[in-house]
Amino acid sequence: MSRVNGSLERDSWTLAGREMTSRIILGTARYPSQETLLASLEASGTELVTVALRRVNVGSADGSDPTNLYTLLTERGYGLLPNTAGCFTAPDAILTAELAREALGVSLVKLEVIADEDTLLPDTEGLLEGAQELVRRGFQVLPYTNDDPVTARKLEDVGCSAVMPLGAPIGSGLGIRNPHNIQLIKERASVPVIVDAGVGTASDVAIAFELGCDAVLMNTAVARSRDPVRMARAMNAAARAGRDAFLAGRMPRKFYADASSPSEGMISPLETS
Amino acid sequence: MSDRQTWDVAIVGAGVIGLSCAFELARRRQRVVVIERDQPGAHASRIAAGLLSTVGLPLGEDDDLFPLKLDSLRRFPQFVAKVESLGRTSSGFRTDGTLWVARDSDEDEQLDQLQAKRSDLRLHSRRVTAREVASFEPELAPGSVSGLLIEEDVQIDPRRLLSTLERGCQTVRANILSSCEVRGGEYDGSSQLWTLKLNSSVDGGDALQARRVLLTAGPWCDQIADAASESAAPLAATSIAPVKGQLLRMRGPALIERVIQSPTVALAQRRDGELIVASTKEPEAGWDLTATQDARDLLLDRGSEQLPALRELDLVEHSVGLRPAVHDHLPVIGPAGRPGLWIAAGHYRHGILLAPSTAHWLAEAMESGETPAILQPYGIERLASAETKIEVTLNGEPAALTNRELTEALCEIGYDPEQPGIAVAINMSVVPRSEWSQTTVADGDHIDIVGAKQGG
Repeated sequence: MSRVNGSLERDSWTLAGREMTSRIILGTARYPSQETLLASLEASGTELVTVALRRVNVGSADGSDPTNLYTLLTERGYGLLPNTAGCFTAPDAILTAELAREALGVSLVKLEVIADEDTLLPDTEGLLEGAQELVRRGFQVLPYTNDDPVTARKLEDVGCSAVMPLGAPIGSGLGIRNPHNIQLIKERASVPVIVDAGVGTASDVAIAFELGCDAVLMNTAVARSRDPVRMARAMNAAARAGRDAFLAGRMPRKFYADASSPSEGMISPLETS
Repeated sequence: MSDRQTWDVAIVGAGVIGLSCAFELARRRQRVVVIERDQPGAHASRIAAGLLSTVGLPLGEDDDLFPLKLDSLRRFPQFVAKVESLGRTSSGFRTDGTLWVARDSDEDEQLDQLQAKRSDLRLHSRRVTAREVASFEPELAPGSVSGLLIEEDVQIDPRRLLSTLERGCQTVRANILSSCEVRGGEYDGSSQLWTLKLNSSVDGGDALQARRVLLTAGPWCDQIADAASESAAPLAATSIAPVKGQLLRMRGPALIERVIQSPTVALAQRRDGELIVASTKEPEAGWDLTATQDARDLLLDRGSEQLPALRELDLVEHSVGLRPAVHDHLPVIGPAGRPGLWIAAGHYRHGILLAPSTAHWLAEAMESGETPAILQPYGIERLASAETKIEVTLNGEPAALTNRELTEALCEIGYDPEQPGIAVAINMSVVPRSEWSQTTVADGDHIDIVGAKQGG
């Protein structure tokens, strides 16, 4: 089972037919500036970024070009993962996904069907309904779901391309609250498992990968850190560290200490006879 | 059908515009027929006061019409000479100018502004004192504050002009069909001919054929368009509405030489003694043609405030007419949006003044196939854009669109349809980019335009 160094570098994964080296999917919201956004994306090493679909107005007060972000991201080679953020029903989410496919030319969609504004937790029935319909319409559906292994299985059964359990509520930065569930989901899934939402800092990311997850989707942890670019770099390193730790296989946990240094050959005190 | 005569231009409506166009086109060797439901000059043209002026009060009312008014005023003497020589009668052309009279400080100020505006436009006028006002026109009531003399203004008797024009038309062989009504119209694309169905017999049939149809029927243009649209593609809607006007025709000894204008009334006396007291403006009256006692009293009061002797003249006629007006008070002159169909109508208060220019430039446009620059502001397209805007909800906000075709509507809103990264939904249903050019937007539609925004 020993690996050579070369194979360490070639650790890629495949999401809906798209092979990627980076295991970080980064959100594009809430950065202090566009410059910081772009530098953070770069530092994180991400290849796939999430965007929202919103009404765009030309000649609006901020003078923003509606196609600006699209151009900005695609020109730099980032894959786009549109979300259905803000949708509270399956039909809303389906319309948003259709608009996204039309606007951005991608059939990949991060399906969010939100139950309530306070927790932003997923509405399971709406999520399953939306996922089923979108799969039928030829979308590659990445559902943002509770960390519930049963729901995750059902989502996989209706044809989702991955499952994306939350670590903690969106934007909470509470880290992975139920590592056991995440592990269960990963154990039983045959599609990629992506921890979506809840990570707060680099160690949370490392834990997700140590649990065996295929990728982590994050936004606020980077965008709202004091130095987003540096945090993006930390997340990049943490992802590699956690993934390597997982691949390396951790040692068994023990109750008592087990000295690392050999006990043989120690210099003993002079024995008196 | 083949033995029937084919006209170059069939003109519908024999008011001053229709007759002037007929005269001008026939003079240019076009074979012209004029179709008139009643008698030539039966409506607004014969009611008009015939006061020809480029800029008066209220200020700013007809600014967009100024270039055409000036052009027409300058053409008028030659136009009259031409028509009179071929019509062999006089048109009552009188070149004594206009005297504006102020009777209080407010009106005095208005005359200052009028002079300033005219001088900005390089039009001559001269402020005169109360004493000069009294010496120019001794019959005017004393007590004026000041005056403004405009020497270039002229007056004409529209009724004389109309009959002179009618005779002129006969001389140049423009055929006038009176008591003849258009009942329908059809354009045949292969022969490029219009067939107009008529209520009375012409050349042994009840229809005539023409290469071009010119609508000069003032506020009745839409009715004619409706009648014609039963059988073929509808003619363009013009939205020319009637604006009722009443004025008095008095007769008696000569009292004034110049046209007397004040902010409330206009007085003009012909050489034959007819004196005009003009006029009311009653847009809310619609098609009503009732001569009202109120209007008569008002005009007599205002007129005699300026000219006390007015009350001693005989009231010969209390005239009521319908000025043809578009919402922007500009005429519609040029092609009317269908093959071979033209329009010259909606001249509102200026039909007499604008007749020479309208006829000249319309004939030029027909001959060259291009719209002369001077007619650009008066195209029918502006009515389409103002009248047929569709009300939609755009990204949640009310909006009015001129274009119905989605790609053009997007351009109109300011989106570049070639730009990637946007999607369009109409009534919550996505319209794929490939279908934009075949998609039309309708009144009441909800249009949403979305693109990528920052998101997590």
